[in-house]
Amino acid sequence: MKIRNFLDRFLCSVASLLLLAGCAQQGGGLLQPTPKEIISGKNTIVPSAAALSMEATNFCNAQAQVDYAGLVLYCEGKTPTLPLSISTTYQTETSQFSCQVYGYTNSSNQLIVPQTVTLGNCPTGTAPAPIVAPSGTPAAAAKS
Amino acid sequence: MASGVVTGLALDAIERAAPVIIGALAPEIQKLLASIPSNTVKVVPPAIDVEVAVAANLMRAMPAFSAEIYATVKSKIGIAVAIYATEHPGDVLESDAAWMDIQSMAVAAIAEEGLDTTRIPVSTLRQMVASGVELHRAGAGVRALTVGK
Repeated sequence: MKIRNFLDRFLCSVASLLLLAGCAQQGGGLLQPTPKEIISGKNTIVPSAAALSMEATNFCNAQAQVDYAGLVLYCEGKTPTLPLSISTTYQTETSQFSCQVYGYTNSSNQLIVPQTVTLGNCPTGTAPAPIVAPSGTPAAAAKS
Repeated sequence: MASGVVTGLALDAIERAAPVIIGALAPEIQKLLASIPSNTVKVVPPAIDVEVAVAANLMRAMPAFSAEIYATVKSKIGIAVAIYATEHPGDVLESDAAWMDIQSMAVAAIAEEGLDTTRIPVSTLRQMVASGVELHRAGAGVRALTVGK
């Protein structure tokens, strides 16, 4: 009985810690998605410093890297207007964008993020170059 | 009292095992975990990878994402589940209709906190509602609420 009580309390404590844990769904006939399936696509990103950094470093998103650098310049006051790619890609107008809210500057308008972020988690390897015969024609064509 | 102490010790053991747990995660999940604000998710098995993915999605969808905002979103979903269960006694919360109502209620409550939910993927909200329903069934969180009409 004591063991049962302990187990109940333990499971409850763990459950409250998890809070969001992806427990197996019992009803509704749906399968539990995998973490990879849960990770969302690129159409849900906001142009915040955190989101763009994550995009660039974890998802090899070069557009996010460029947009991040553009927003840093904007938030430093080095460019007068919001980069066009921001308003088009993220549907965010200048009037909606706040360097503080989006995590680029502090309340004193000082930049609080790195100037740039690096691309990461990119697919490794490059496509092999086509084999070219000395004459300049593709090897397969040269054969025939 | 004694079992509370034991539970505390057990959880402490889990926290000490955090590096091992993190080391067992897929590399992409480890990177996401490193990207989200500290203390956003608890390093507790078995579903930390799902929670990391959900938190990462919220971070990409909310301008000023933080551990506090994450806690607020989770809390609103938990309360929405409890409100629905209170309003529908006997409902086992297995229908799509129930889940949609809970999700709508939660989104409205999150928006009332001044948080923009428009960029949060529906699938992410769905996952959070699923977990909220599971926890409700497990007896965690708010069990019942007095609902004013």
